[in-house]
Amino acid sequence: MTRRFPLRPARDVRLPWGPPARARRYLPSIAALGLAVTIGCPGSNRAGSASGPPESACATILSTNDTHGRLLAATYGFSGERLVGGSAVLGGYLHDARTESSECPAFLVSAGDAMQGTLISNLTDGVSTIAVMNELGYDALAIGNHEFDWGVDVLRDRIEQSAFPFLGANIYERGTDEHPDWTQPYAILERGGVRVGVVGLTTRSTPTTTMPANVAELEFRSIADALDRYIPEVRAQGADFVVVVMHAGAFCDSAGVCHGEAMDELNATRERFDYAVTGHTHSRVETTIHGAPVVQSFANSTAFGIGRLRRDAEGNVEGELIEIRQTYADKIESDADITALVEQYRETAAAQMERVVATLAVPLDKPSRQGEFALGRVIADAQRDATGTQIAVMNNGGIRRSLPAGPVTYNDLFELQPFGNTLVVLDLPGELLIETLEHALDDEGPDAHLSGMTVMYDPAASRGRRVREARLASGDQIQPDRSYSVTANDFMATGGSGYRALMGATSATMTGIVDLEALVRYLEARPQPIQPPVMDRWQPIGR
Amino acid sequence: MSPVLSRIHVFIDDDAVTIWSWARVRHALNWHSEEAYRDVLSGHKVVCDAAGHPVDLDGALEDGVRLHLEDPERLHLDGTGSPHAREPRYPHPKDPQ
Repeated sequence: MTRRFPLRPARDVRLPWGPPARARRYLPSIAALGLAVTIGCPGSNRAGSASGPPESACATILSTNDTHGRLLAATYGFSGERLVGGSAVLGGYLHDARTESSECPAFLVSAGDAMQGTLISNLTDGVSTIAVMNELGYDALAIGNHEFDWGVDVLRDRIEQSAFPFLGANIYERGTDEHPDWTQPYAILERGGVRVGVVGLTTRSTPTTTMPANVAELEFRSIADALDRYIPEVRAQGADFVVVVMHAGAFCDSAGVCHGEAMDELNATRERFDYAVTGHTHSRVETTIHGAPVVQSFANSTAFGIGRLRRDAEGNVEGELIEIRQTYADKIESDADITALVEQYRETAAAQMERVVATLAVPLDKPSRQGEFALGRVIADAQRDATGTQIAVMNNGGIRRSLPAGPVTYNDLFELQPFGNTLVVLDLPGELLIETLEHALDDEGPDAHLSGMTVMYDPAASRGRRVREARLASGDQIQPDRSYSVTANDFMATGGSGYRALMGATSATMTGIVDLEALVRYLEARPQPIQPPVMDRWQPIGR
Repeated sequence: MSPVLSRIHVFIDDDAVTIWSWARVRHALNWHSEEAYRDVLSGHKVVCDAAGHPVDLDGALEDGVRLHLEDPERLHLDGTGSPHAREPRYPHPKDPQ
């Protein structure tokens, strides 16, 4: 039996954080309100009737992707002192784009990965981002892989908070033909007498690009199959246009030929769509498939897409990507209301940064780049604790400051581990583990910290021959022909700081756990004040 | 957690890089050359796709993608949003580790 997802029921938007939702400045979508009203500029000549084919219609499609919680404008290397992006700046640009397209009602969609990525968003589990997106007037969002980073329960809360639907037409409850009850495959948006059906989809790589446990009960199936299933349903409900919004990406070459998951899936789709918005690769995509424009607008709110759909009296649909517009702050008047809203969350985040996470009984110094120190042992222990592997290896280059005795704040820990690295679980042959240890000993003193093992080494021996003995915490000696579970951050696991032996692992599972969060959780759970481990894990012989 | 066995192949300045399927642009760049990675982080170089558009270091990779490094002054950064303009690079606050 085919499930139908017509107009979204009305609901109250309650914000667990921040100010109450104010009246939206922009025209609300019918999907958000559940009201069959015709508002705004005329985009169709059928005078608001939802029945019968229109003689002509037009719509403007505004799109962002991978905004990653960038609520604040930022300067970039390319821009010098010029600020780019941020929600208030984006709001100003969207206001202008809507004004420019007054003859064709504008619909604003996101291709996902909206929340994860900045402290102002992450410290509220995305509440700040959704509050701002509500104010910006988003009409629909395709769920991205990083929407799952904080678990389904948090995602469900954010969906409840949002004034727009989170779409996932290819997300199924594992082993069933049912979608989770917190998402829907599509939405029918209506504005100015124009009906736009938006089908949302999610990259099939999601189980490997977020915390796997968070999506263990879900399946991310073929995007093309989902489109072929739902586009006829959307058209049957009187949509003038069908817009595909997917968190799946592509790269293009100078000839405009693009490839990647988004292209593969759209090419494989048999049903006709009129416009497609992509994401995930943070790239510029500007092409067509089956005659329909396909767009991606970089990332981080530094650009957005403007497209136009027209339907003539004979029912012929023509789509056009008008522009991928950059969001330089000095070329627009920022949205004052959104500026004020973001500022409230910025102040909230600042207060969160001063939160005391733990109390240290002694200072934890980082005396130098090389060598072993208690702070490094604590970090490595936290990472192994978070993943449950036999061993953790942490590069010294990722440890950026010392910690004083006494209270330690979230901000202190952020400065200690500012890179946002995520933890990876490797199945590593013992031979490569020993090679990794040898690399750590290439220079004066070890260049990494260990958890779950001890190493005896000869600093006087030649490079590559310094490890004399390596044992697990259990006392078992590391065997070259056995495999071990090892935690490393994604920087190391992809060969960073010369740890190329880790790329020889037989498998590498992205856990989605950010190193900073692993440390915060570990310190919070320890008896206070915290006494760090004192036993050296790198033990030089002959000294 | 289910193991991820797959690796993908990407190209940076025609240098083939084999890397985990979940890796991001920054990982492939760092594997290609730590010096090049530092050049990008310091703003001396920009990672571009085959069309010449800058790509974000945190973006996902696709199997077979060809990326190259370019001098930032060669990018047209008029900020007009013209479809003919070259877009800016998208640096990341991360420092070399």
